[in-house]
Amino acid sequence: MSLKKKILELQKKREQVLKGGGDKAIQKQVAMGKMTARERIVTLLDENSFHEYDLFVEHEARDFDMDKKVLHGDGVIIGTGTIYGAPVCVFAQDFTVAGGSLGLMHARKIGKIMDHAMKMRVPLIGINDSGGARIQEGVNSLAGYGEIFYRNTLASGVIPQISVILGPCAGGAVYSPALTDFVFVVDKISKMFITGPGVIKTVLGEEISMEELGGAKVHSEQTGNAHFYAESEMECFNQIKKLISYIPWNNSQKANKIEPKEPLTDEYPITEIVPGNAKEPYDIRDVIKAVSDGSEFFEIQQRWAQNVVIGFGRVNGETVGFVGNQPLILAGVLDVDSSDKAARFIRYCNAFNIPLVTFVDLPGYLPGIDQEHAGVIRHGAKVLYAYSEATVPKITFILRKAYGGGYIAMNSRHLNADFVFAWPSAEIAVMGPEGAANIIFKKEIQNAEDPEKMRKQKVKEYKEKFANPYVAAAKGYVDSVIEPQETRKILVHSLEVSQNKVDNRPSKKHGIPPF
Amino acid sequence: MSQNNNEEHNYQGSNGNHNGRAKRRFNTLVVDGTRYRTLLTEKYKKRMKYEPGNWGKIQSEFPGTVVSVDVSEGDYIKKGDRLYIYDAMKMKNRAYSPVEGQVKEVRIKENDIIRKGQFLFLID
Repeated sequence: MSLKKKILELQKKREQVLKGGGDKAIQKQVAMGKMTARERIVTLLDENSFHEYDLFVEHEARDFDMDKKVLHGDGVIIGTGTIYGAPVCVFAQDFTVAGGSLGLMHARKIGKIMDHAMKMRVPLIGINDSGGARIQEGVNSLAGYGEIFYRNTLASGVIPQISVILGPCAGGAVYSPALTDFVFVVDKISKMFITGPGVIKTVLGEEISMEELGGAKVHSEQTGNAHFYAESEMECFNQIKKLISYIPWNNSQKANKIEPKEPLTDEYPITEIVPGNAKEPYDIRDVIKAVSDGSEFFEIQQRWAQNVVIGFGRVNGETVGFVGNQPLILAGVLDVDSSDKAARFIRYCNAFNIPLVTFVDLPGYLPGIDQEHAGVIRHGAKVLYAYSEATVPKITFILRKAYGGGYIAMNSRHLNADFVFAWPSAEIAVMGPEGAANIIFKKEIQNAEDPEKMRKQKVKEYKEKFANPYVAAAKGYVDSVIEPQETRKILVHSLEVSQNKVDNRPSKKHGIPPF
Repeated sequence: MSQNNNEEHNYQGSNGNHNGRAKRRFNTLVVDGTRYRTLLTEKYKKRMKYEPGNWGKIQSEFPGTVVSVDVSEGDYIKKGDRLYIYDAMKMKNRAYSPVEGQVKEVRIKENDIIRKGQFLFLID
């Protein structure tokens, strides 16, 4: 056979396999409003950058007539490519091939590309669209999941791992995304749950749709399992590209620096955003945008635990992680969910050499029986742990209220912050003036002729004495009290002088964070 | 309900438009005696009210199907007597009384499907 003929033969073989589950299955996929696995990869990556591996892999299952079935690529596509020139490894489950079900070879392909990503120290992107374990392969498919989870765990904190849920992702399959750094979901397409509506109906007699049980909205608003929510697959891919532009390729590098831009000071005038009265709300994201390059802020988990705001932005061209209490929602308190949200993000930034910039304005932890019983002690401790553990540059701005445990938790000097600045509106105290006056001056208020008048007077006294940044500044807990319009300038300076920060910690296998 | 949705819509769409503040309807959150003007989340509004424990109020610990009910109204029972058997997670499970007393109410019968936390018996 001539080489030409052999090449023709290869082309023919490829053509067959590239069709995945065939035209009918592809039509079904399109009818569900979904792109095919290959289309997804090609859309996400830079043009013509995708190289596929293991195209001709086939399964070896024999039971239940599986030996008579041909499953092209065993239901998953793996390969390498680039996003804005940055190399990435990618896999996409192909729902048109046996419902994207995971058999041993399918899992081995995923494992192969994960190993590759680890060796090359580049981000891994996994597109999930699968009916779950391939039941005909029995324990082999469970082995496959386990091998993926193990690799997810080893790669955690070494390379960025991104999971994209573009179809069902049920049962054991959900744990790979759960182990990765960022989970992307799309409305009406993503479905994640441990047990589906069918099982729930049989066992409990409760009827619920897949969408209500584990749709994109549920995971981005209620459970916090998802980090990014999109209305369409296209929007989702744009979000992934944007994320990739903010983060480094691995944990031994820094994120790419880009041309610095000034914030849009007309749209975000920093002196006008924050009301002087600590009881009045405002949107902390406006403050972040008032100091970030081009007033750009890439928010993470925008719809969940909104009382804390997290996300990436750039300052002087360099990526930073912003954490801010959100006075607009629940007065910016820390509670179970917002503690989890902030702590995980802080650990991400620390793992990937991204400096942390914290804006503080919170009345403390949320009081209530439900919070106490939900374990606010354990969850709240995560914030303390994450900030204390972080060795990247840590810069704090206290804008207004910083009371009690909340003050300590939000990257205070005491947790080894590098720089702590306070606006003149800062109130650093054990609790708000009303609560404090009621306790300290309990007797005076009770014994007064007009207790209400006395109470007001004592609140005022306390406010004057403690509701300011100068008591903390006098102890050096605050490095300097700054004017709001100096914030960006000081932030830029602080980051510049922190470039070579060294913060050696005692060596250990790993800490025991309050999971 | 619709008011709350509107609030959130404004909030989502505000996109840094702090001039739109006047449009929002704020709630109050009290922390340590201080009243803060702010928005509440759906999750916060749906918080369950705490109820003090009542050992005589027997609730299901697990969802499942009732196989047999072993006590009737009016029975006097001892702590540790079997109350009912239910089928859950492919197992037959037995539930015993945590208290001594008279059965005042029986709220289930054979083959009932029970939810987690469902009120099943009252023992006094």
